[in-house]
Amino acid sequence: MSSRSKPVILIVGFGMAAGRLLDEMTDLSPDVFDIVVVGEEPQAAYNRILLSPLLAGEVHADNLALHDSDWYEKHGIRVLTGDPVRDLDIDVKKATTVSGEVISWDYLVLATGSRPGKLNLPGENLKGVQALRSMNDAKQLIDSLPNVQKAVVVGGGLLGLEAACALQAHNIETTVVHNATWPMNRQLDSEAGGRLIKALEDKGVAFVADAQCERYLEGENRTVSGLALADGQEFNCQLVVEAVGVVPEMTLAKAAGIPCERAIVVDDKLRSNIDDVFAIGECCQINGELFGLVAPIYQQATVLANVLSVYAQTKSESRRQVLLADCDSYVTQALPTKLKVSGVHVFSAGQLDVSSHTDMESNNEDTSVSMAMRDDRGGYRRLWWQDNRLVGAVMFGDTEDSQCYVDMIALQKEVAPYMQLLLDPAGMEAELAEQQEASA
Amino acid sequence: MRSIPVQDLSASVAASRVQTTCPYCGVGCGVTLTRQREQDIPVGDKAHPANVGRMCVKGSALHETIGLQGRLLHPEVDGKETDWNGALNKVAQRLQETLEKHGPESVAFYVSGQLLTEDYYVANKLMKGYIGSANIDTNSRLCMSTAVAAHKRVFGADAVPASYEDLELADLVLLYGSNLAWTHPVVYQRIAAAKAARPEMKIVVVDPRRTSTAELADLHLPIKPGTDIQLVDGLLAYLINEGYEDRDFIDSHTEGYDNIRNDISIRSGDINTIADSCDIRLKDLKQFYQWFAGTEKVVSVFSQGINQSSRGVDQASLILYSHLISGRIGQAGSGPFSITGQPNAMGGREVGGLANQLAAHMNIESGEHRDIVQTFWGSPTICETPGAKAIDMFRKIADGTIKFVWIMATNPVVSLPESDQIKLALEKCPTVVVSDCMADTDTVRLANIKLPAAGWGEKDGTVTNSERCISRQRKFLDLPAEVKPDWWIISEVAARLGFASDFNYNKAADIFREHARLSGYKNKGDRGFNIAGMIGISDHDYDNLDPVQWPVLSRNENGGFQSTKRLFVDGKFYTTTGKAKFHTVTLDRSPRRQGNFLFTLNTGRIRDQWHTMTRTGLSRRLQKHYSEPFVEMNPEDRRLLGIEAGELVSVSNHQSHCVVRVQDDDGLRKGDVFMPIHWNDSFASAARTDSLVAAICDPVSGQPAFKQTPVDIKPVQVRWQAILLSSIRLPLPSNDYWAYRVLGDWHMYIMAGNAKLNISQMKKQWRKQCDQWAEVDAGDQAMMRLVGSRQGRPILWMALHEEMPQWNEDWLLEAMKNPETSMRALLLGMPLGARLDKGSAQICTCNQVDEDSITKAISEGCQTVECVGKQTRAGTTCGSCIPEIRKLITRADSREEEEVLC
Repeated sequence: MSSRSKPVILIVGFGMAAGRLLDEMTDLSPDVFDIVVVGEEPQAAYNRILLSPLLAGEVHADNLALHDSDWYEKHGIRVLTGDPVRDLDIDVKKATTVSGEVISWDYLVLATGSRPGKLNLPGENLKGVQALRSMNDAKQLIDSLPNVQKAVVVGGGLLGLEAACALQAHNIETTVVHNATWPMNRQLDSEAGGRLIKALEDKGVAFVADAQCERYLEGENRTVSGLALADGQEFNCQLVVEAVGVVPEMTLAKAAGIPCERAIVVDDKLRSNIDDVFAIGECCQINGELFGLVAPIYQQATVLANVLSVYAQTKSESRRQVLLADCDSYVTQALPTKLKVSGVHVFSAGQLDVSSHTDMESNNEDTSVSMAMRDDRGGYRRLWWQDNRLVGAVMFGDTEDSQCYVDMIALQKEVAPYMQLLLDPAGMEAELAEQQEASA
Repeated sequence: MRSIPVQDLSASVAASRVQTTCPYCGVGCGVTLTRQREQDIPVGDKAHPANVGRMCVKGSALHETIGLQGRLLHPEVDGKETDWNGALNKVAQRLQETLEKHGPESVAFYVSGQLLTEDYYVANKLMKGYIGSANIDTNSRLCMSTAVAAHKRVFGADAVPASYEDLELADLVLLYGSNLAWTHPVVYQRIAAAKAARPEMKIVVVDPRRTSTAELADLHLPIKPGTDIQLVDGLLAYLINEGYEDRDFIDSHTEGYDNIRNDISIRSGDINTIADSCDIRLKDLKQFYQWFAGTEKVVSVFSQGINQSSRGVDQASLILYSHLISGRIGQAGSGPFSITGQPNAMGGREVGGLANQLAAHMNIESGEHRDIVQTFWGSPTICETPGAKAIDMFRKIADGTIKFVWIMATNPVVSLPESDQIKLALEKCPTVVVSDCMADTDTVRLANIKLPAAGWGEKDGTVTNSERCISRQRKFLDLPAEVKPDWWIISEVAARLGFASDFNYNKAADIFREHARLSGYKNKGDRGFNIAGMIGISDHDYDNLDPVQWPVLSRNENGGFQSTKRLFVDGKFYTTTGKAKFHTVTLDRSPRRQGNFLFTLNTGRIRDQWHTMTRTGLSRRLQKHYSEPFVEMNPEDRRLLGIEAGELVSVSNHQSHCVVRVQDDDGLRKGDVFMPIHWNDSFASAARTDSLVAAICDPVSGQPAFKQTPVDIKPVQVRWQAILLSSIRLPLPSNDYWAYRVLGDWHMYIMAGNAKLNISQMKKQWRKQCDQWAEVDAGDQAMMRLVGSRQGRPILWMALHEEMPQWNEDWLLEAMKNPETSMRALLLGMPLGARLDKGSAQICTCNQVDEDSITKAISEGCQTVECVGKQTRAGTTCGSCIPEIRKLITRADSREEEEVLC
């Protein structure tokens, strides 16, 4: 096939999903496509997960890039940064960038990611109220730090806590305000949450539970000077980091008439219902599920790279069906969460029935079982079973062997006895493997 | 562990070595203590004739049981610690008051085959010559009184004719009702070694159970319980009818034979009927009779299976008769051999420790003997009639006839039949004095006055073993705190009663000299026990006394004492006529059975425990062979009841009920079950086996029948089972079941229950003791684990499950000492990453080898005990476990055969 006739893939958005997809495609089908990737940010894809460590001063900005420019050149990938697409015409398969460049595609991949969520509070536009979503955000934050004595982080999820600890690392008196009783309340049960609060406090980060934010207080020069809660409490600060979730970015898709719900709707092969249009990452929705963590997005990249290579092999719809049937589909996976804060080890995976408590009365017909280990020095871990299958795990303090739980939740095999799984998952996994070998 | 204070050693013994005698069974092994790594390690004394260097597992663990843990160290009166003067005054005062108000029959001593001869002598002297009652009886009543009665009736004296050596010289050894391999391991080992050297030597085991001992047998006769009497009567009939009588011997040396000869030959002449009654194969029975008839050198060992029976004296007599009518007595390798249970049962009898004896083998009924003894003692009085034997003694305590009882060195609340009644009797008795070395036993707990007595290694004196061998127990430890030897305690009370000059002993040797003089005093050869040759023995000679078998009438050419290996060599017996006597024995008095019960309970010892566990229970190693009280039953019976092995069951009857774990033993007949006698209220919630046993005694000896108790067995439903380890003894919640063990520095409790346990309440209590706490909970009763620590060291560990929690005992005990151990592993009770190891019973206690390891060695090709020993070290030290190893090999063999057949 001559270079003239190579099909063109346009990837709109240049975050971690796009970056991973490029890795997969260059591995799987080098020289099959002409690839163009267009991004809004001034730099090529970088590791967004490391923004908190960057803020904390634990890593250097130069080390975040997924690849250097030589790599893109070597693989013949055309990279446009700082010039986002402003318009898509799916009928004629053309995209126009803000600077006016028009790019034709054979296949379009939307990887537009997401935007930081907003609370829509009075004063949200004041200087010093910001998110930590992009490299730019991080740089801006770092630049402002010399003038900050006190900071407030709104949102006690993973990102909020990481940001708060990063700020505290700069000796900034930091308070996390959160709209639930304990931080990471979707990933942790109350006991792990309570221990996390204690650990944050030990690091010097204050935690305010069940907070209803009302408005930001204004200081000089339209800068923020504090946060007021609905109950009348006020927190003075020179900096607010909002970490209240993300909103999938689907403006372009919507305008182009690509079906969207909470995000761009695709099937488990990442296909939208428009021919040759795909979506991946935080901007897409599969079977109603949205994505925010990196692991499922990496899986999507693998699936999509395979799907695209099928598309390149044949234009026959029936042939494609046959070949696609052999490709892996995206499968929902247990999403393990690990908090990346030095000295605080928190892990969560699967579904936690956070409403049930380990008390003496929970002796009903339910086939769900929960068991906890707590050590008043070391830590805490708790598992949830349903029908003798592991469905959820939380670990605090000692997070060794957490991968065993991820695997067992994913495999949905019967795993009793409970006690050993709780205390010695690696030993138990080895034993199960041995049993399997013996029975095989 | 205490160390030997060097200055405390008698001058004649080298500083690093002490030769003494083991305090456990009646074999009476010599033990040499050698100093190794700051410990006094007991090893077999090569110079002692009983064991010639051999040692069993209990003896090998003696050094683990002589610490001060749990010791009674100060006298106590009515719950208050006091000094000796106060306590002795109180004993004397209450004794005096009781005597004055109610007379000599209102006081009693209940003593023990664990006492030394010198202690025993003083106790007997005080009761029979100074208090003037014969109400002194001993726990020997429970093991030897039947044999004593038979020997006295037939031979005219309580005299065992043979020596251990005869067992090795015999061509046929019969073992009646004896699990020698476990109860007298060193004698068993001697027989096993003899058989290994002369494989043509035959061994027959008569026992309803196929015990470890039966592994050595050429023929095992698993008779129906209680049919020993038919079996031996049949043997006599066979010898008569088949022409094997030794007429010369019978005519010259016995009398009364013709009165019983015809009767026996007719009533037991049909061998088919005997086989039917005993429920054994005719072929086996014939083989047994033929071997006996055709072998010149026969030794008949008999023990508790014969003695502990409601017609024990009759069946023991028949065994003696079998040797008389065949003339197989008084020769090397021949004779009946009653094996003693306790270390000094025989020594106690020598001084008259039973209620129906006087002293030095003299009889209460004989006016001449009473005169001799009273004159010798110069005592103010002498008892005129036999006193109350053990069972009657406690009945008299219960009905208020006896109002003062002094119990020494024994635990009747555990060991007597109907032991619940014994407990009630002692609770009601106005004055209960207990001399003991332990502070808290089921009996000590009921005492008004507690007197701290010296234990093994702290006291000096002599003991006599099963083969009439007198040997020294020597003191090698300081007396701790206020502890005193029993003879001193008794003498001090005697002095306070006004008999100071007659009890003026300064040391054990003083008493022994008096004892020796009495044995020879006016002894015209009619009293079997005679050690006149030792009269005037010096302190030096007493301290250096070599083991010697009585009678001792003179010195030998080397200046030592002349030992007597065998009695009746000249066919002369101790009866007035010098002839052995035959008495009529009736067979029709069958044991009374009450009610309708499914099972017959047999009782006995296990290999690694002694009596009521007050000492052997202190050794962690010794509690690994069996860790909990249990009942063994035939697996088919168990399945019929729908019970799984390892489950808890209640064993019950009209007397009482026990809760124990059920275990399989396919060596038991269907319908028979077995329980060990050791566990008690200090070690388990309800496992006093003897509480189930009805107090049915032999009419002559008064020895209770412990071996055939009707019981029912039912499963005990429990919803949870738990293991608790604690560094301090904890008050326990009242559960359906608990068992206690000492695990080094830990107290271990195994618990189970049906009712919900108030875990949060328990935790609240325990948490106060701890500064660190880790736990696993599953929100309900199903599972719980916890580790409580203080200053970085675990002091509490608990595991609770629906079934017995799994753990690795050895690993955990080590891991808890190491602060680096992961808390998760501690909670789990086993190392992380290890496969679940269910663990198996410890077979070899010396080298800590469990059943799984031995089975593995066998499956890898080991077919001999020696091979297993090489592979695993099991059985290579004391050898007590060799029969069990042999059993495992046999079992593996038969399984293989089955597979081949299939």
